[in-house]
Amino acid sequence: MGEVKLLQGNEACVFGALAAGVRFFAGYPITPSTEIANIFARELPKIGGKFMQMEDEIASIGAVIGASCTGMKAITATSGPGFSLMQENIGFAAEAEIPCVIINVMRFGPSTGLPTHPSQADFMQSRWGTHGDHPVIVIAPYTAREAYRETGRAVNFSEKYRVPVIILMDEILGHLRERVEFKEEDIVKEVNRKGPEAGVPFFPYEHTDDWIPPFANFGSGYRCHITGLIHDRTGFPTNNPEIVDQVMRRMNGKIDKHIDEICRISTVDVEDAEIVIVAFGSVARSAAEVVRIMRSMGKKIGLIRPVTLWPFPDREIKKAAEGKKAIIVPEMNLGQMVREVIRTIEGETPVHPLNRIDGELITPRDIIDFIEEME
Amino acid sequence: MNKRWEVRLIGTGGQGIVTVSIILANASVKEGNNVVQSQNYGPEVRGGYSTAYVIASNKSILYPKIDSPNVMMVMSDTSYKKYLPELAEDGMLIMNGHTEETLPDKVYFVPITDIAHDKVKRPITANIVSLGVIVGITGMVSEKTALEAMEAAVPSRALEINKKAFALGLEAGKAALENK
Repeated sequence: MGEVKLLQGNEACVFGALAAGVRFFAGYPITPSTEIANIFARELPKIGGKFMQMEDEIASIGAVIGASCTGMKAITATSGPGFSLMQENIGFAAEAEIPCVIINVMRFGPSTGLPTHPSQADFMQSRWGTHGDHPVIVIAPYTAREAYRETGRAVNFSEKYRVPVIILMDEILGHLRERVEFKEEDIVKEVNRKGPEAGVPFFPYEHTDDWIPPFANFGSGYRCHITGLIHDRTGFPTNNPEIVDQVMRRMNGKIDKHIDEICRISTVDVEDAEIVIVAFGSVARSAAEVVRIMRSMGKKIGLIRPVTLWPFPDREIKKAAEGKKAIIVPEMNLGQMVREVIRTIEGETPVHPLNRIDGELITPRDIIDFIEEME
Repeated sequence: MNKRWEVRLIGTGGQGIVTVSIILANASVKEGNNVVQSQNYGPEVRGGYSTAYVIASNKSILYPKIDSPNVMMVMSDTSYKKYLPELAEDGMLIMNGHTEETLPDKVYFVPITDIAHDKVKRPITANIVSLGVIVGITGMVSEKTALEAMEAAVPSRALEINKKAFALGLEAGKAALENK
């Protein structure tokens, strides 16, 4: 700790993952996430890990799920087009409750879009990209330092809650290098998945007190059946309505049950603020600059930055936004997170979207002009 | 350092300007500054436009882009006109070679690719020549830290030739500054 270096956002994700115990990467390189694959290819063999370049993103997420079943901590990285291809298997991992981490370095879409330009238009896709009610955790860092720490946290959540976790980066954060000084709170502590208890009959999808069934790694001597069909505690398919209801409520509810640990927001000067900006990822950097500039002019502006995007930190945002004159939600899309903010605040405070969809970052100037015009 | 440096490098993919920006960024980190470095490029592998930038400041850097660079270096004229209006009022413009275009007052013409070709005798080192030129003209980092950061960034088999390129660039940069 105390170490100072120039670190790229993508690079930081890799080292955060390695610190959390990731030893398997399978992927298909795509701008602007390619550095992640490059660096894993360089680093994993040095420490006994495995790197596989696959034929496409469908195979990549498949390999990650397979590796995870054997007990390896596994990750992949991609961008919009690849993230779309991965959706089916992300649903499989959610339903079969297989730990895995997917880094999506967002680029401008739809389709192949603008490969080298940023976007935040996968906000909703990261939550609802695969069909059916399913659990997922999505985390959005905003600096290289945070990319390190939050990727570590993502790996730990995937192991602890048996759930796919998505790190939602964007082109700007992925590609920029910046001075990082690691501190005590950046240390990533490894969390391992819970295994079967000796002397107790083992069911791979047992409804335990914490709602997270123990995981028997392949080859560890237990019989497991893994399927995307809705299954009972034995892992075999069922369509018994009572059991289906129970399984679905447990599988989705396991995240809500631990929401206090999972949700994280960061605030700047919110307490006495009249106007509050809600922003994530690199747009939050512009917003933080706005707070700095406007505070120096005596304007009461604050920033709420959700670090955990999904589950959306309803309670935290509702509380921080209470009694404010206005909320502004700048996003590099046509308005996605703003829907969640409106839902959360439930009409108590006016909420204004500020959108930019020209492939460029929303600037501090954009936000200041918007605020001045609003007043 | 009590100044915010915003440096934009403009060239063509394959010229190595991203490498130069990373070396400058590393040198500035070594000198205790907050630094952000990044690059923009098109979807082509090489031959397309390529720009890189470095922000260095003693304050924390939140907004990670540059709006008005106080240093701009143009390696090839593919797309620099698009960026020229950004240059800060008293900003320095470093041009590789000559042009008859109307340019800002603080323009420094340095034949960077010619130096790499004729004096270093390795055209590929043009980017390291440009590093020396930037350091020689701006002094944004010391010669010593720039050299150290450069040495850490190039393969050991090419160290000597790059040291030569850096020294010649530095010399040319200082000369351009004096002749102004």
